[in-house]
Amino acid sequence: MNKPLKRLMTAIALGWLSLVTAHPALAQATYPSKPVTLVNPLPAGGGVDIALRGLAKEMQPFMGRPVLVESRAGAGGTIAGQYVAQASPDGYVMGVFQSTQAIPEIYTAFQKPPYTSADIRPVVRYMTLVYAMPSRAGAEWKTLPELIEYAKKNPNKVRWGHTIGRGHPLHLLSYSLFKKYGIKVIEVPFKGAADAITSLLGGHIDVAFGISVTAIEGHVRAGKMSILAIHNPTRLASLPDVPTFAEQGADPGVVPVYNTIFVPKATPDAIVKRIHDAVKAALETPALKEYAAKNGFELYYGSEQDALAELTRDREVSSKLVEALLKE
Amino acid sequence: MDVLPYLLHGFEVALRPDNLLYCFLGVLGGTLVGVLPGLGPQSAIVLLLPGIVYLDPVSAIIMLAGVYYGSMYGGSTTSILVNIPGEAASVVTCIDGHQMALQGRAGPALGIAAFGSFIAGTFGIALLTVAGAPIAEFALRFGPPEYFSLMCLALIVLIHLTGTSLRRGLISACAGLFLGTIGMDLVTGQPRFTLSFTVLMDGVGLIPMIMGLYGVTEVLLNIERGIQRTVVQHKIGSLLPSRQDWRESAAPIARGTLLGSVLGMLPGAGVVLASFLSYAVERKLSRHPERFGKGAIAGVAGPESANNAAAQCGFIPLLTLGIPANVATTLLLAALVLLGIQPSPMLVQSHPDLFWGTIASMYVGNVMLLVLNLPLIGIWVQVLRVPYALLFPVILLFCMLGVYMINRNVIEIWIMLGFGVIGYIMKKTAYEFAPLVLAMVIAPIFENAFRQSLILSLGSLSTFVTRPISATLLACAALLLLVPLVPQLRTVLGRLKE
Amino acid sequence: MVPGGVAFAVVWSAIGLAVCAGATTYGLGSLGQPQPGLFPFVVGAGIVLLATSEAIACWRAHAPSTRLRLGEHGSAVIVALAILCLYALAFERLGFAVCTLLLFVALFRALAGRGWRFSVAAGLLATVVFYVAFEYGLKVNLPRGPWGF
Repeated sequence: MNKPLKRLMTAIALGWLSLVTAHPALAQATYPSKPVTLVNPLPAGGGVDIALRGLAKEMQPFMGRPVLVESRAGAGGTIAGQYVAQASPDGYVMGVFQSTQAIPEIYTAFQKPPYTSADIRPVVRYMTLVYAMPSRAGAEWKTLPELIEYAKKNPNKVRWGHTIGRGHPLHLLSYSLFKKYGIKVIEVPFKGAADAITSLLGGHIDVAFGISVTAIEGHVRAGKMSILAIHNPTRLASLPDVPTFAEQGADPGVVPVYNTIFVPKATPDAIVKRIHDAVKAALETPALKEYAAKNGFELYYGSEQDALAELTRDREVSSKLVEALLKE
Repeated sequence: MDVLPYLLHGFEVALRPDNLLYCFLGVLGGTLVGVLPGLGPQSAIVLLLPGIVYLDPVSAIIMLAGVYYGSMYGGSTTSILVNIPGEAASVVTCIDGHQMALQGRAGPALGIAAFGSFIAGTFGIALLTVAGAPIAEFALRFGPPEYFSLMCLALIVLIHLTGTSLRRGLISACAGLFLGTIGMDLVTGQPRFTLSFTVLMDGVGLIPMIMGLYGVTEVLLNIERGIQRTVVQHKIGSLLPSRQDWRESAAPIARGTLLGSVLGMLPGAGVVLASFLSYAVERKLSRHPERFGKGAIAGVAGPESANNAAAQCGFIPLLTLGIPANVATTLLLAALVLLGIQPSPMLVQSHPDLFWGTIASMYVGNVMLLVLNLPLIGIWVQVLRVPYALLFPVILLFCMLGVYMINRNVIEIWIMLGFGVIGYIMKKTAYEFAPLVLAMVIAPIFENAFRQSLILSLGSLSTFVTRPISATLLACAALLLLVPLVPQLRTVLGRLKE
Repeated sequence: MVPGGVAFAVVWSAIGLAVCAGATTYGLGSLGQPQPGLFPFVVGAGIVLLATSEAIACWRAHAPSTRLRLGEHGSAVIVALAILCLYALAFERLGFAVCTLLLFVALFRALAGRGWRFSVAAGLLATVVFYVAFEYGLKVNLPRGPWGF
């Protein structure tokens, strides 16, 4: 090998080494020095995706770098969860997780999850998606208590749609109602909310749970279905006549579907704080508030401590329900 | 309701210069993603979603709709030229379309696909204009038992799809049914046959499978034949279908259009199913069934018309009821929500500009697509002149990037390569894989509908024959199964008499 | 000698048996109360039956009809597959640009029989075109290598 080439090779090797072994502290000082990515565990075009795009846009000025949204859907979010859990802890890859990805060890009952909640760290909670329980038009009941009363008198008569597999938080909510009131219904599983909506419109099922309010608001206004209850602490501004579960004395006790930003466990505190501050600032902007109102999600700020408390509560409630479910 | 004034108003909206531009951009983009293997309308719409919030809602939907039905035009191009389906709906177009290209008849094949698509697409919109709402209301009566019976019918028709050997075709179909069961069980949530791979929880992806079976396999076979010598075709005949071609295609286009319109309205696997069924029907009805698989133009005209009619009719439930018919229309629904429009049966009344403007733009878009695609034929056939030794790396790269971009997961590339090897072995051992693809599409709908039906009927199998639509479909299936046996029955009866 | 068709049919039956075996672990249930395993079991049984009858038919026909033998350029197929596997392995580690350049150079050089100079030039050109098209045209953020592209 001739001399110049040898020198070139050495230079390349050194450059490579310095890049690979760059000290995290060095990276921290300039964070963020390149675009950051928010990983969406659910399919593009869904409710979470729409909400995230709004957040990313408003977050960008506070981060000073482009904020990208990336959908890595699959296996109910486990794929994205694993991706974030195993990403390098430098703050460039963040996951926006709900309970199934946040505490995979209790929700993936049949298959050992590839990571656990110990591998990731919550940064900030930013919104909840409001899920509704729609009922077919012209049903024998008008309210949730009436439905429960009807189901008690007529076991195995009410056709109850699930939009997601057994053991998912959205299914656990229905399940906890069945257990609490001792009712027996015909449980019909569907592959996603769209199929359940179609079946409701066609009158093939009576009620369903696990459909976001935005997906059915139009049908409700057109009188093709009604909403018996929403799973949210308060009523919605857009649907002031629709009561919550708790109002009707039928609080299922399940934690509402939160969306919290997670990073790999080993991410330094300074970076976590930087992301938290940017998200918090974005949540205060009028633009994001307007976007949220228009697209049917509730901005819902929570610090790392809030998020941790929520996780603990979720773990307590859901693990009991999952256990009971597995015994059946 | 008198439709005409509304439609005229729709044309006023659609013919506005800005909307014309968006419509053109949409159908152009659609044609491109249709042509690129692996990149489907879904990925294109996802790419455009963040940008559309800056547009007027009518323009945005006109453009996204254009991407969707435009991709159905483009999907046939690679099927015919290089035997790689651009979309799942163009899988059957490969069978005869590529044969035609090998015989120097790529021009007529592309031409008849474009004309068939235009006729079918326009018919589909006409149907949407005149009778959208009542049709959609009827489609809602399809509950789980009806879907089960429809899939039974499709499985019976599938038997007629198989070419040389019925037995091997059925083995391939069963393998497809098995592949369709991989993933999380709908009722219990149990993972089946996932071998602990997390990706397989959602089942085997259709696109990686098709790209593997068709794209990779085809390249491997050509490499084996000797890449330097592989030329697709030097001689390029006429660019447009001849009078004889038209005579042979007229009836298939008409039948494909009807079949596609009916299946397209049903939420589910309408588009893919329509093209496969159309192929099987044409083969069955043809006076020269032996020509199928060897470059019969009817085998291109029928399925291409069917998938366009189905794509166009997929807008009926979306626009009239606010429910999506497939993945691409689900994304359009998301786009509506993003634009602040509630999808619902009220769309016609609450947003007449959007409703009628979009419909009118589809007429315009279909004309644009025809005008756009006919001159493109001249360019596309030039692709056949590019030495294969330069073309194949590009084909491979597109296949790999296409499947990677679905979920940004390298495992999809591995799945595709796996199916490439499987396809190569199947091809070498004379097992066809078209039945496998259709069976895999049908399997989950078939099984889920069966189990949902039984849950709803509390375990009573009679639900399939007591519901009128379901019973009619099952009767058709039984009839189709028995018809081929009639001549044999006759001889048996004749012998008994003697 | 066993005819090729028989051997392939036997392989298919083995696959069918494996499917049946797998299906039974998920529980079969009955037709009125199907469990997750029922449908795959029926499908697996179908494969076994069809493949067995195919094997018998091939055996009777005595036709060594089809044989899985690599053609003239069979080794090239293995090389191509190896290159594709390496691409998939390196894709997220080295980034899109570098991998694609290597892919094109390898395919042109090893399979298309082009010279080094042509392979590298064509590879560079193609990589730049695709990088620009995907990164800027389609705004897809493809994987980057440790050197930022």
